[in-house]
Amino acid sequence: MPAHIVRLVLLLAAFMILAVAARNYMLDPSYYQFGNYRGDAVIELAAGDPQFRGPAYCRACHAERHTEWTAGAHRSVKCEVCHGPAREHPAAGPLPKPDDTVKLCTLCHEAMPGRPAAQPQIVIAEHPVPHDGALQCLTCHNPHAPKIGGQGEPAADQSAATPVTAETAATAQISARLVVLTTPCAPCHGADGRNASMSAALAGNQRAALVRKLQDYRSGTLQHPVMNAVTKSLSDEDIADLAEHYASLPGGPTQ
Amino acid sequence: MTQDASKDKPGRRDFLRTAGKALVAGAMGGGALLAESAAQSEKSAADKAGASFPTDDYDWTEHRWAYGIDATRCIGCLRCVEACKSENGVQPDAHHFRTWVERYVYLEGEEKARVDSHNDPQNIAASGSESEYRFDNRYKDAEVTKAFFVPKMCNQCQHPSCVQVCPVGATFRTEDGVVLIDQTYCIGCEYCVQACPYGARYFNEETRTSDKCTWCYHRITKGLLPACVEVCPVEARIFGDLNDPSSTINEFIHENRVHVLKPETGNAPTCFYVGLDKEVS
Repeated sequence: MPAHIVRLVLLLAAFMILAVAARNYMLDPSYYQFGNYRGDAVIELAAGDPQFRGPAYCRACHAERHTEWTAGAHRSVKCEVCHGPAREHPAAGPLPKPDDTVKLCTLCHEAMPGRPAAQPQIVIAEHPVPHDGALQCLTCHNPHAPKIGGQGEPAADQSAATPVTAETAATAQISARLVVLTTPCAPCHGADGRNASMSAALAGNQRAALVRKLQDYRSGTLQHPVMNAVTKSLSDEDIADLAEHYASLPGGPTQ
Repeated sequence: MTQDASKDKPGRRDFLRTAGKALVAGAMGGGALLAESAAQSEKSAADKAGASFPTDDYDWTEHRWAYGIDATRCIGCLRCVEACKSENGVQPDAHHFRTWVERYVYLEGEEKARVDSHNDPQNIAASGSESEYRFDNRYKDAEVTKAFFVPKMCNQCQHPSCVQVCPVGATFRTEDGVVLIDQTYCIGCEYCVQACPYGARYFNEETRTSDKCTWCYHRITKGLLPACVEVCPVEARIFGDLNDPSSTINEFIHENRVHVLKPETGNAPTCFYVGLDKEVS
């Protein structure tokens, strides 16, 4: 064989050996293990640490809260939605308690076009208890069972949760003006003013006593975050009508 | 001339013959080496086939994951977007995200929907920070004829165009139906970002690689739900195993008339939607 042919063959052979060696050296052993990719990449991606641990993890220490939460209207909202991912809690320190609940709660509950009708929503400006900065949602609502008077609430009184509608107003024989006036009262004091489990019963009290109380709340002589806020905009006539109304209702425990 | 030519011919033939033989010999040698390495990798695959993969207690051949989105339930609270970022260490700004929610609003007298998402400047202003997410209430006093929210994310296609275009084999579809990115092999060319018909991929400037939703592969291989499904307060997001006849995702698919986004692309997504609308794609 002529020498130049031998050289060419040797050169070709050397090139091929180099190419195969380079391929073997550079290619990850797990490449082509399952397909045209590195098999070990799957192992690496599956190895991460979960940050969200789920309610069962929280229950191990906070069983009482867990029970309260599962009975309330927020049972579909898991612990970590508001408190953030548990990660290494408790070893890594406490989880945050949201301080601005107005900001947090309105993420889901601010009335907004696009939200399904089934979602409980409030027009902030029209909320019975006005939000004036000092008052937070959790002043009145237990975040773990937020429905006032609902199941799992300290005040397990269904009548308190009944909003004043035209129908209930008719049965109570109160005027349209009183419907508006009593709307902020009903969530805590009950539509019939007889709920005393989470607040004072109003029905059956003396008219003068109710007037004095309302005036004291309005002036700030009596301090109560919710009562001060809801009485702030009441006129003397409003107070007189409210007192007249609740004094005229039959007292006694809620039926 | 004739003599020269006839003298030349055997020379050329010889050369071609020898060169051909050399090529064949070389190819056979190389081929043998290739065959050997192929046999080696097949052997390692066979070794692992008996054991569980990719973790000891999770066998990816036993699962076929799918995702359901009920857009009629979504309230646009964006807890999914925030949870995804915490879970996966996505940059906490408004412009890098693996999942997002679109708001479609039709105003009185308008034919086209107004669409916005958490990265809209007005929404960033409403949240007060680029690392907190909320929809502002800009339409509260408008005459809205129709409005709804649509959660979006990687559709984990059965025929993913992103995998098709990757020049280095850095993105692939797993046996259990999730499209993943090998961050060490990705060269950051962004072909896949361009190829995805759903805009589900983004470029991570920190790692100089492409990035996207993995259905929280590190969670689902441990028996957990993806973070977005875990935190959704209204069960608008559903996840489960198609191989399990009683799974929530099978129930979702069987009990609803489900759609996929952009079926005309042939990508065959495994994210199934309820409550889409003409303009949603």
